Amino acid sequence: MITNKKIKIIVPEKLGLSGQSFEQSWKIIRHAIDHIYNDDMADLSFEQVYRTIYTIVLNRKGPILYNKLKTYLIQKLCFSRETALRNEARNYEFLETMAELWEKQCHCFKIIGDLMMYMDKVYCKPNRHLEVYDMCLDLFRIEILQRCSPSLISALTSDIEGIRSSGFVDAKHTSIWRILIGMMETLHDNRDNFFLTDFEPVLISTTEEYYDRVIDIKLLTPIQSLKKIKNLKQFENVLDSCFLNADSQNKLKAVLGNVLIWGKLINVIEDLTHEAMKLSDEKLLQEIYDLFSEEKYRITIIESIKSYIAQIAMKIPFKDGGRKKGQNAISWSSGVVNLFHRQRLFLDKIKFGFIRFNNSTVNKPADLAILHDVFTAYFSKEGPLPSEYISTYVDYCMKRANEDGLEIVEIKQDLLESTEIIEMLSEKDIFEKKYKKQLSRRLLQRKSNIEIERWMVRMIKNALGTFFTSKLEIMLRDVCLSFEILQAFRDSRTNSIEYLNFVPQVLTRTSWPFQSTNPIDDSISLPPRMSQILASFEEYYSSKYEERMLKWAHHLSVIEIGCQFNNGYYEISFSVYAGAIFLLFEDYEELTLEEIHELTHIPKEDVKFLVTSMSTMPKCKILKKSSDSGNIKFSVNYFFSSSNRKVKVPVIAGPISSHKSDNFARQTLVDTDENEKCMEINATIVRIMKEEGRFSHQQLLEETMRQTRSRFDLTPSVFRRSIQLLLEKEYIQRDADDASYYHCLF
Amino acid sequence: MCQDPVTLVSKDNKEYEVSRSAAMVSPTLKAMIEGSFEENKGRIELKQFDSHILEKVVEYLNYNFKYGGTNVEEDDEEDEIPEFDIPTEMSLELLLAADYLSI
Repeated sequence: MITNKKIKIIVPEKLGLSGQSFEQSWKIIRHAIDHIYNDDMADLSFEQVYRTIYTIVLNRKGPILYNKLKTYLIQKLCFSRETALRNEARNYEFLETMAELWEKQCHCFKIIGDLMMYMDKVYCKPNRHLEVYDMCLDLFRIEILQRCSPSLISALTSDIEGIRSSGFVDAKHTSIWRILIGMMETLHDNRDNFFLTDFEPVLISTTEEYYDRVIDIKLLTPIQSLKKIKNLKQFENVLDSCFLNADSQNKLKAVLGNVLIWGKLINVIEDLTHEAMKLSDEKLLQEIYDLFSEEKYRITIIESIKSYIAQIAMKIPFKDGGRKKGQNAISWSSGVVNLFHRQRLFLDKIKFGFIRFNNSTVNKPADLAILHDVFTAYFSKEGPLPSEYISTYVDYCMKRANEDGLEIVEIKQDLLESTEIIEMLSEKDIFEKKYKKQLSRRLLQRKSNIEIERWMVRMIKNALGTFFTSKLEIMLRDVCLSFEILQAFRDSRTNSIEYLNFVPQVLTRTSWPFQSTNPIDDSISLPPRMSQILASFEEYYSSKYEERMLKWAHHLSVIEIGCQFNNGYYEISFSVYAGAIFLLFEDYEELTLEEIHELTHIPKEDVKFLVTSMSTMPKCKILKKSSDSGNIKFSVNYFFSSSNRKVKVPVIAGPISSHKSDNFARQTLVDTDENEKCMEINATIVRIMKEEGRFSHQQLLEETMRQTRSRFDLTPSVFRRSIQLLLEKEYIQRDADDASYYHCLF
Repeated sequence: MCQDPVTLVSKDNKEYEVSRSAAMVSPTLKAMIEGSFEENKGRIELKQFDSHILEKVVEYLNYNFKYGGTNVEEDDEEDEIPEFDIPTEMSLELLLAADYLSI
């Protein structure tokens, strides 16, 4: 230690008040405590009491003082309990008394704690006793809280319910609650504070019961329920924020969510969503959506949205008995396009936040994903028809583009909307096929604006990918090229017979959806003026492209003949065959079927068919039939009249094949579709098997489905057929041990 | 609460003024000042301390208030803070005083 001579001697007698006995000291302390409880301390010297305690503790009487203090405080608390809480006051009064008592006691405890500061430091801490203040709180918990906890809890909860049913946040009540909850949070046993262990669970369960009871959703309309629930929820949140900590507020929020929304509203969520959709009320829908903050609930809403749109879609008439297929297609498609567009505008306004979809549309915004799901499901349910219809619709729009008075922009808008639909078609290959056919017809008969066609093909390309449009592009290219060739041809043959307006279309054979050229085209003999031009074009073309072969496809061509009848001048459009027949009457007055056949080399049956259509159909009865002693002869019907200057002899692109049997033609069309599909599936399977070597049936099916999904929906039966075929051709082999596995054999 | 200085009274009735905030450095004094006892009038009698000790205590309270943002009980090693001079002969008495006032 310090070895200085001048060390001062300690002065124990001065600080220690050594003269006093413990009893005397305790009297001082007790006196002080009494004063503290009476809130009468103005004459009391803190310093004196502090010094007394200091002395006691210095004299190692701390433990005695500690216990003495404890006993004395217990007495005090019991007294308070008896006096303040004895008369069983009713709910609110009881709470008030309790809160008052708590605050008073806390105040006293604090002062006592301050007085005992020295003991805390020197005795309690080293000996691991509760500090005086905490000891006091613990006493309070044991003596008061535990003894009246049932009545406290029931009083508090029933008071809260009272306020709830009054629907008005009473600050007086909530402040009392807050004090009491503060008390409960302060007081804790070894585990947790009283609030968490005893009160909060009760509060949560009573809240749950209360809200379960308070609203009966069956008596209200969905919208009313929503409003009511919203109000309740809001009220409860405000109320909770007045007296609970954030943690418990959140717990209660969850409870509310469970009881009100999940428990009640969920029963009508579908109706509610539908209602909002019906009213096109995006605010309402957003509100509903926001109310259900959990993902699983949100998915339910989204499903409801989907089911609503699907319902509307179902209502769009697919077939209307009285009308033609084409009209059906147009009205249906415009209905669908319209629906899509409307819903998209609507859903666009909804903020869906982040939602995980369990399918391939993840990278799309939620509104598009929803629509995509709905329409894809709808289309795939309806089979190939939607694809055909949509194509027909595009056809319709395209043809309108050639009419006057319609803005190209408008048409483009219509088309743009339909491209979005195209993307969702399930049978895209059917669409492609149909589209190709219709496009070819439009191009050959020049029914549409080539610019728009090009633009549209670009749009389709964007939507479906190059794979779908490569042939369409070639078709468009052919048409443009043909035009250039024609220009060049005309320039080179200035002396040619110009009054025949000849428009050749040089088409790449593989890209156009025609089976082949018609066999009779080779043998047919055309009127000399026509064959002359053809020959000269052929000559021109082969001189320009030596390696290419031209083959005329008359069945695709159209011929227009201007003709003076008795009632006026008409422009009549024919198929080339019909035209050739009609032109015969320039040279002959009357002809029998036999003679026509000989002059044109068109097969007899076809001659009969063509002539019959020209002589019997009321709209284009340009030939007349006369019977002369059993010999049926035909001649020009000069009395033909029509309201339009342009007359069309109805021709189907290939009259020769189509007249034989309509059903048969359809059959072959479907057949080739199936075949192409089948080939594609085979190719896919072989590709997969080559990679995998050994694969189970199920795996193979799934993988093939996945790979072909962009083109069409693969059905297991078609798939089985392909497998069968491949097995027969020995591309693959069944596993010897497990028949559900296949091996690659190449 | 007013900001009047607090008067500390020593054994020999010498009075020392110290600012309220400086006095608050001692939890004991703080409790005395803030409570509703007679001491809250601003006069605290510390009769067990000699005036020279109390003087040193006041000096320390001011010193600690000025420099002791970090609640160091005794001298701080940091350069800018001057050493608090404790005469060796007073050290034990001061120790007692410090214990009493929990500073």
